[in-house]
Order: sequence, then structure tokens, then C-alpha cells
Amino acid sequence: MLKIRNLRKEYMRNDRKFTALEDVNLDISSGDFVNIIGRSGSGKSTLLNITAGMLTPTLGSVELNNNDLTVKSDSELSRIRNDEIGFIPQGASALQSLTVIENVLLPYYLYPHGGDGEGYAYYLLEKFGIKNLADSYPADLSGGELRRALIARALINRPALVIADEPVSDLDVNSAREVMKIFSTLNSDEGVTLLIVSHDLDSLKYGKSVYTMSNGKLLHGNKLIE
Amino acid sequence: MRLSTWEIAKRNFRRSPFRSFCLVLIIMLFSLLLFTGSVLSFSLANGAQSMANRLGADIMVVPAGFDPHVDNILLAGKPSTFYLPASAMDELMRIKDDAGIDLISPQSFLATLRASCCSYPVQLVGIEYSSDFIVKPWLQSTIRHDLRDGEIIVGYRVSGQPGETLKFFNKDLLVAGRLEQTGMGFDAMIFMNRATLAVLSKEAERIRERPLTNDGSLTSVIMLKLKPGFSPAASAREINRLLNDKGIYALFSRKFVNSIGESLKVVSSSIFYGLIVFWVMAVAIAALIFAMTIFERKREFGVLRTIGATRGKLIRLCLAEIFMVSSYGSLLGVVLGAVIIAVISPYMIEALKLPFLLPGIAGLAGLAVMSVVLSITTGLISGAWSAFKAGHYDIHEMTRGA
Repeated sequence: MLKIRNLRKEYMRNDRKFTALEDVNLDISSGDFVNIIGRSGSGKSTLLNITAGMLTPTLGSVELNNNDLTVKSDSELSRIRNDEIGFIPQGASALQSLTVIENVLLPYYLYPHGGDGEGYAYYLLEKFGIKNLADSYPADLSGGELRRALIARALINRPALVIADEPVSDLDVNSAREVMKIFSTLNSDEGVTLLIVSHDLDSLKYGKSVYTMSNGKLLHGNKLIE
Repeated sequence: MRLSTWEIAKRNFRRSPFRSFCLVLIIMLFSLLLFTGSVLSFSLANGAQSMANRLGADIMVVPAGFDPHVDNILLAGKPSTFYLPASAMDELMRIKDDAGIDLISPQSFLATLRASCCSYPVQLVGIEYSSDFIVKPWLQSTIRHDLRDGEIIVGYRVSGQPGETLKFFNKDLLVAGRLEQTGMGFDAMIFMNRATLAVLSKEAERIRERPLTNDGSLTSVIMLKLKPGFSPAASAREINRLLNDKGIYALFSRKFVNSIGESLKVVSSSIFYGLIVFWVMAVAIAALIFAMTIFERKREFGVLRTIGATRGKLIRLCLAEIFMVSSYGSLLGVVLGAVIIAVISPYMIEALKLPFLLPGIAGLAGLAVMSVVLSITTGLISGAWSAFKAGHYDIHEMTRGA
């Protein structure tokens, strides 16, 4: 489903070339749960942003369902992010002026979609135990509750791939475990394909495949951490 | 539930009341100044046009040294009583051909001190009906009969309806008609024939216990219409040259319109440049607030991009918010401006000493629409760069560092 080939990303930092990603290759099949761990600045977020079509690589290709994202226009990429990718950015990334249910429904309303979006949004909130908070505003939610709402938002258009950037980095231990369990259940019970990056070693307990990222290089397993 | 661009913009507007208030205030002030300023300019221009239309005469002959009184009477409606030497008519008849005079019509002025119609003194004007070429055409087309003895025509600001009687100098006079608003001294005048005014003058002399003039003259001004091809300014100069020592002074009527035009130019320029300065300030302040707002919400826009919003969608969202703020501000400004104009225009008429005639309902509505459109455009110009910027931030940067 997702094929990343020979990915390289270079930045200019203080007038010097800086390589954020170097020859990254990754294959993710439908139903996978891939966990990438690594220290801050190792290139994890850069990899996710390129995978979601939000950043252009210097070299290499990213194919999602046989579509090369690196050659798509902004509007095509936007549509792919809306329909095929459920992206969960770092931190409390909700629109503060909208209620929880409206935040969840936001991707559904960005483009015309069929089906009962509202019903599905309530179903997801119920599934994650926060249906009673549907009409609350993000500022009234705890970190764990908000993260569950954001997972619901990522799932609203039934995407092929859910990408989460440091989904538990700012949560306490219990909330972090609850959130990771939700991801695990989504993958095992509903077959949702997940790609998660984290610098939290506790995340190693979750996921079918674990990769380690260090200095822009991706290695299978957690060898570098070990 | 439907989350349209407008709905999201509305929520953002409500979310930051102070920020929204500041933006609405800026646009409201601009709209208020634009509306009131343009109404003021148009009212003055209307007044000047009305005066030009109403004066009718090419030259007015007044007692030497009394031309400022004529200014007061015509522009400010401030009553005054003065009389030409008794020989003035004969002298003018003598030089009639040399000065290119075609029609001559005398008028008599009498200022009241108190009257039943008004809380302020009014100017009584006696016209010679047989020779008049200023009021008579209007009378013929409206009341359709001559101005009989004991009948009066009242100005716009004088109370009294046709058929009612008003008392001046112990005489009851019948209101035969009312003049339309002119925005100038005519609004506080009462016209009658000279015979009626002569009766009132006698009574005035009796009340004041002294004669109005030493030589028995009751002529205050003489209106002159020139033959075609004669210049009012040149003829007025010629009359003044020929009758230099006769105690009279000829002034050409355009002088008033010209002097109003000069004052109008000053007032209109002040309004125009004031508006430009405020427009630049409004654009700069609003642009700064919009830029700060967009920067502060960078992450929010990043989130919208990650869930699939295109650049165009973000720009539209920003412009919708700016349009909403500008619409509220401009509408409030026009409403407030209308209230201010309604309250202060009577005082402005007094203070400006210039003919002031508000545009009609259609004119006011036109100015209101123009003010709203220009204010909204100002808001959109102020926020356009920020909106464009919001659509072109790098998504990776926008979502980083939560």
C-alpha cells in the first residue's frame, strides 16, 4: 500500500547543507502497524511529513496505493490527505473555536462525502469513550481525551492509512497507554493501517513492526536504541 | 450540522471577542468618517447649487458698506434691516443702458425681533410684484395667483401651513404657500408684496418710536437682470464706477456662489485629505492586526492543511473572516453616522455659515452603500496579504512545535 523508495531530504541550515533523511526505504502493507522510534531531530517527523505529501523530498518516491505523491499538485495532495490519509499532528491540534464533534467532522465537510458522517463521528466518539464530550470545546478536555478526539477526526473519512506524529509525547503515562491501546485495538479489530512515530520507548510494546530512526537513517528493529 | 467556510469564520470571529472588536472598531471608524464626510460634502455642494439656482439675479445693489449684511441674510439667515438711498432707483434707471441692465426689481427688508411663528427673528422681504423676476415665477407655478396684500410665502424653517395666519408687528398675515428647503437664508425668510411690508414698516416705526429711514426709502436691495451678453462682474464694476458717490454698491450674485465654492473647496479638501490619512492609518492598523492574527493561528491553519484543506480554501477562509469583520464594522459605521448626522446637522447649519442641504433619501442611501462597499474593500485590502500568506505557509513548519 505504501512504498517509500530511496528517500532523501536535505535542508539548508545556517548556510550549510543538512541531511534530514538519507536513503530511506519502507514498505507498509494494508493492516500493518508500523512504529518508528527515535530521538528528537532524528528525522522522524520529516519522514511523516513527506509520507503525507506535506513536504517534498530532495530525492526518492512515496507511493500510496500506486500514486506517486512526489509528483502530485497541491490540490491533488490535499484531496489525498483528506480521503486516504488520516494525519494526527503533534500536540493539541484541534480548532479551538469548534466543538469536539465539529472538530471530528471537519475533514468530512471539507469535500463532498457520501454516507452518514455525523452518525459515524458519534460512533467513533462513543467507541473512544468521549461521546459525552461531543459538544464541549477542546480547551475543556484533558490531554488524553483530546488525543482520542483527534484519532476520531483522523478516522472520519475511513482513510487507507493513519499517520500519527508523536501521539503520546505530551501525555501522562496512563493517558499515553490508553491512547496506544486505542491504536492497537483499531489495528487488530478493524484492520486500520497505522504509521506512528515516537521517541517514547514504551511505544515499543505496540505495533507489528518497529523501526528505528537515527541521523536520518531508518533501520528495521530497535537496534540503535539497544 | 454543516461546517461551511462562513460557519468556521463566524466561530473564529466569536472566539476572540477583543480582537474582533478592535478590527470592527477600525473599520467602523473609517466607515463612519467616510459616510459623514461624504454626506457633509454633498450637503454643502447641494446647498451651493441650490443657492445658485435661487438667487436668480445677476447683480444685487445694496447700500454701500452693507454687502456683509447680505452675506448674513442669504447664507446664514441672520435678519437685518437696511435701506438704500431714496434716489437709488432713479440713478440705476439713468445708467440702465450703459450697464446693460434689462430688468430691475426692488425688495424691502424688515427684520422681526419676535414672531408667533418662530423662536428666532426672521427676515421679512417685500417684493415688487409687478417687476419681480425671482419669486414670481415660483408663485405662478405653485399657488397660481398673485401675492395679494396681507398674504405671505414662508421659508422652510418657518412654521405655518397654507391657510393659517401668522402675526407680525400686530398684523395677521395669511400663509399662501411654503418654500422648499434651500439650505440657506431663504429658509428663514418670509416673502410678501411691498405694500404689505410698507404697512408692517409703519407699525414697526410706531413700536420702535423712530422712523426706519431718514429719507422715507423702503428699498433694501435692487435685483438686476442683465441683457444677454453682459458679464455680471463687469457690469457690477461699471455700476460702481458710475455711481461711486451715490451710497450704493453693486455686487454680482455669482460672488456668493464663488465664495461658497471656495469655502466648499476648503471643507471638501479637508474631508478628502482627512479621509485619506485615516484610510492609510486604518489599512496599516487593520493589516497589522490581521497579520498578527494569522501568525498566531499558524498552527490552526497547519491543522486544516493536514486534514486536506487546499491553499485556496485557507485563503477563502481568511477572506471570509475579513469580509465578516469589515461588514459588521462598515454597517455599524454607517448606522452611527446616520444617527450623528440626524442629531448634529441642525447645529452644523448654524455653525458652518454655509448653505447646507442634505441629499434626499435616495442620495443618502447611495452614500451609505458607497461607504459600506469602500469600507469592506478597505478591510479586504488590509487583510489580503495576510490571507495570501496563510495559504502559502509551509505545512511542515505550521504544524511543528506544538
